[in-house]
Amino acid sequence: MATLKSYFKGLGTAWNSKRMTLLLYILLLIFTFTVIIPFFSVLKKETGYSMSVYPLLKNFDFTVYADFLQHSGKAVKPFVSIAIWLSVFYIFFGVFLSGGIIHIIYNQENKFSLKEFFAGCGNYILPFLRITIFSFILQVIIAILVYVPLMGYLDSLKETAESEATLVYTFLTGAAIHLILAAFVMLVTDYAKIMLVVNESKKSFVSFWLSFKFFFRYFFRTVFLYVLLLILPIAFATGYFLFSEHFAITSKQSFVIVVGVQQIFVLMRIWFKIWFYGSEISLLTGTLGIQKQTVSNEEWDVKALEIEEEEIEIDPDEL
Amino acid sequence: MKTKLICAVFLFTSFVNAQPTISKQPLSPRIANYQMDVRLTPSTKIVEGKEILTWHNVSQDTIKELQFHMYMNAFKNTKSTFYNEGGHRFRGGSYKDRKEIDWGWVKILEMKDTGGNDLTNDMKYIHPDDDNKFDQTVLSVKLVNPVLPDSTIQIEIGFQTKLPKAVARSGFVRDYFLVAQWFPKIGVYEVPGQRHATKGGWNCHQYHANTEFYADYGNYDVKITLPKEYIVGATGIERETKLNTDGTKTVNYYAEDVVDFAWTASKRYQIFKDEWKHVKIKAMVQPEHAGLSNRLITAVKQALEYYEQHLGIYPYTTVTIVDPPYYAGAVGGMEYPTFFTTFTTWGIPDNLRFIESVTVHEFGHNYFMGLLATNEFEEAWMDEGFNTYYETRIMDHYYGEKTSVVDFLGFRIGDFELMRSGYTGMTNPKVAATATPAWKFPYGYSTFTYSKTATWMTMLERLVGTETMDDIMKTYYKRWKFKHPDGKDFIAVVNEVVKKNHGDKSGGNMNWFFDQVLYGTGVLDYKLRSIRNVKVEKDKGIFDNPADTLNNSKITRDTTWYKSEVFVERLGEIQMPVEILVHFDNGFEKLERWNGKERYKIFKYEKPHKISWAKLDPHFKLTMDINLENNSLNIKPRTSVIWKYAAKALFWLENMFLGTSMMF
Repeated sequence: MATLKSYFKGLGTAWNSKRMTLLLYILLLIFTFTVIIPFFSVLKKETGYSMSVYPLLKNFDFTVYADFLQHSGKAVKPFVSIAIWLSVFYIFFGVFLSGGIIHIIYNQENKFSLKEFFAGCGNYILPFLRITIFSFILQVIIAILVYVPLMGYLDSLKETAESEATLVYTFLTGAAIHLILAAFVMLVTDYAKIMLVVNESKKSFVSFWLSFKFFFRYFFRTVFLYVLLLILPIAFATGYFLFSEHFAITSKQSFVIVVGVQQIFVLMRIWFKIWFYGSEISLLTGTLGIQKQTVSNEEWDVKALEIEEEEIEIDPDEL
Repeated sequence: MKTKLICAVFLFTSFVNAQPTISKQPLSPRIANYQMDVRLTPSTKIVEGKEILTWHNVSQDTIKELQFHMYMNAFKNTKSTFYNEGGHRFRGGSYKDRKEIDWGWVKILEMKDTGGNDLTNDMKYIHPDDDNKFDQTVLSVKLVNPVLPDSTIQIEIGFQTKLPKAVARSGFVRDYFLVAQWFPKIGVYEVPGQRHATKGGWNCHQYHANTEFYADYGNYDVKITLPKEYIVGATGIERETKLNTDGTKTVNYYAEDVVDFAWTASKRYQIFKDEWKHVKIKAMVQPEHAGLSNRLITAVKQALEYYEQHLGIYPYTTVTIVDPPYYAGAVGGMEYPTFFTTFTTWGIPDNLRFIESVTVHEFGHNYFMGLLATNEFEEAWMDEGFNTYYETRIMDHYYGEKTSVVDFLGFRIGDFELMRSGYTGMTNPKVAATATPAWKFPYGYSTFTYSKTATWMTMLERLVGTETMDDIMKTYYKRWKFKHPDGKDFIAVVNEVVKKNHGDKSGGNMNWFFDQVLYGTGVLDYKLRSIRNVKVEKDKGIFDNPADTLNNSKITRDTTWYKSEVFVERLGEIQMPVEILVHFDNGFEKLERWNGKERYKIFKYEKPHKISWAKLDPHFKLTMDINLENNSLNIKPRTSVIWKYAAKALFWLENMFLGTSMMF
């Protein structure tokens, strides 16, 4: 029941976070445009006045695509590495933004203001970054723990397995285990960030450790909530996949429709993330019986930061 | 000597006559005939036995020496030509980690002629292609009694073949066996005139990393003894299976008018059978691929149908499809008469048709190699290239021009497109001519042989028309089946049929075409450089003769006139006739023709309409054009495609950023 309650509490939070959702979307769009605008110019310059790419409007055309890559690949390929580096940078940007999101949901009881949002971003950036580093290290350790033995096992299996299906199933099982463990780390990371905000603490490692303990103490609750939260995004992604399979850009009208649907999909992903945070905050505070301390804007910079670890209502021993 | 010769002829005749035949009349010259009785020992990976070779000297020369291919010795050690040319890596992985059991070899245990003369005393390995004294893939045997013109010799050979761990088409993995290029096989004695040879001589090349094979036609009667739990498939028809008392069985396969014999043995095959007209189709598949057997059989039926309609009838009565297990991929995708290996993989979706593509390709080798027995060492383009050309035609015909190989998640790739991109995507397409012997390519053997040939064959088809192309290929098949044609023979057929169907339009012959695409190294690249539309103004100034001005003619009317021009240029070395479609803003279109020989050409117009766009080669006949981007111009560029792909990129990037950031 507590899980369901948190699920719907999160929905309420997300529902009331339209301005924050929009802000996050606009920030993402600005970020993405730093690549897309030069990419557009390069494409325009490379195709010039040639009609060779016109078949691509209707469908994917391999001849056109291969020919384009052959002669314009050098101009386009740098964007791939730029995109990869930007996605690394966006991890940090996302960490920065998550401070604002959790601050608005928890400290401001979902009352959005740009000032508060960015104050939250700035206030939590360093401890959140430390949590991200812990999370990254843990993800790497898990990947090594899963894939090194898995690859060794697959290597030995290659000598005996009669069918490649055995290899595929074995790999998929390993990958599934990795995915589940990685998801656990993501959950621990989320709860660690929330705990840090709830505790008004800067002690990232303590928060990470508390979150770890919380996660395993209330394993079924947290995982059940996570699974519940995943259902709608997966359904939404499936719906988008089906749409994209049957609806392609072939005209101006279809361009507007497809781009519209794509951007709604992106907007929804951000909205779902707020829902996640809202539900997780509700589950954590509800489970541990934490009472919200209202902090006014004026008090934020001075008083809230002085709250000591001992004063907070989460008792590590209880975890 | 005469007595021995008569004896040999008698033996040959009795050998041929004694066998139950498939064809009423020999379809081929049946020069090299083999009767074999061999035993496979799975634990040692050794095939041991005897072959009786009955060889007919069709030349007017007295033959004092026989030459044999000893292909398996390519896998004997690290000093073979095969090993050194392959950069130490081959289909089947590296040689680095090979254990003793993994090496392969073939050795002669005994060899004697019908007179009982031991021929092993005077045999030696030779190296006709290089100076590698360590290479043992060609064996020369001096005869005690030479073979007189138009007579026959019979040789009894005891041999032992140690199969290698699957590498380059052949070998074993665990208890799986694909036995090919496995027995001492006589080379081809080319008579004057055959493949434009000026004098008789052996054509028996070493086994190279890039080369395939070349052999004479004959009949094969092969008895294979092996443990009874093994399921066997082979070239030809299965005549008899006999269970032995020692837990083994002896399987007898028989094939007529073929150039090779290969076989496979495994305990795990599942057999699926079907028929198409006179052909019995057998698919030997791995149990986990049973669900794919129908796709393999359907592909073969489609190929049979297409070849019959567009080239000639399949003369054999059987075809066997072999699906090797995933761990023996090195033997996959290889062809032998009436028998070939394919590639399948568990769980491959229906709309990823790589397995159909390989199956159609390998089956096609029954024609290009099997029935038109070209010299694959020297002119690999005639089997691999022609076969690839037909593969693209068949795949695109049955599965769609743009979707025949991949039609998955919005990605669509046709077989021809895929093949062409192999050639046009080369970093240096000028490094060698297609007509280069297979072992002499510095690199890019496959691309030049398969992709480039298929690309120019398609270009030839589009230039002369599909009907004429079919006429060419049917004539070539009819004239040269069960023989050894060479490139010049094929070109002669092209010249003859093109002249018959199109007169002198092509300049009397098509040599100019082959000189460029086959023997030349140049590339084809035409460019539509510019379009100009200049408004015609009234003439100004002083004219001695007022009639010289335009002012009294059309320019004085209300309509605006334009002097327009389309500038096309030839960037590549290859010269081909080119069409240019010019489109005016009133919808009027003009198709221009240019011989493509000059470095550039300007087409000029004076019309009351502007040119809105122009396209070079609008019907995509010049498939070898390495740059299609520069083949068209539109004076008002449409950016809709760019918007589409920018929107796609935007969406993917947004999701990538969100996805990665949400992980932490």
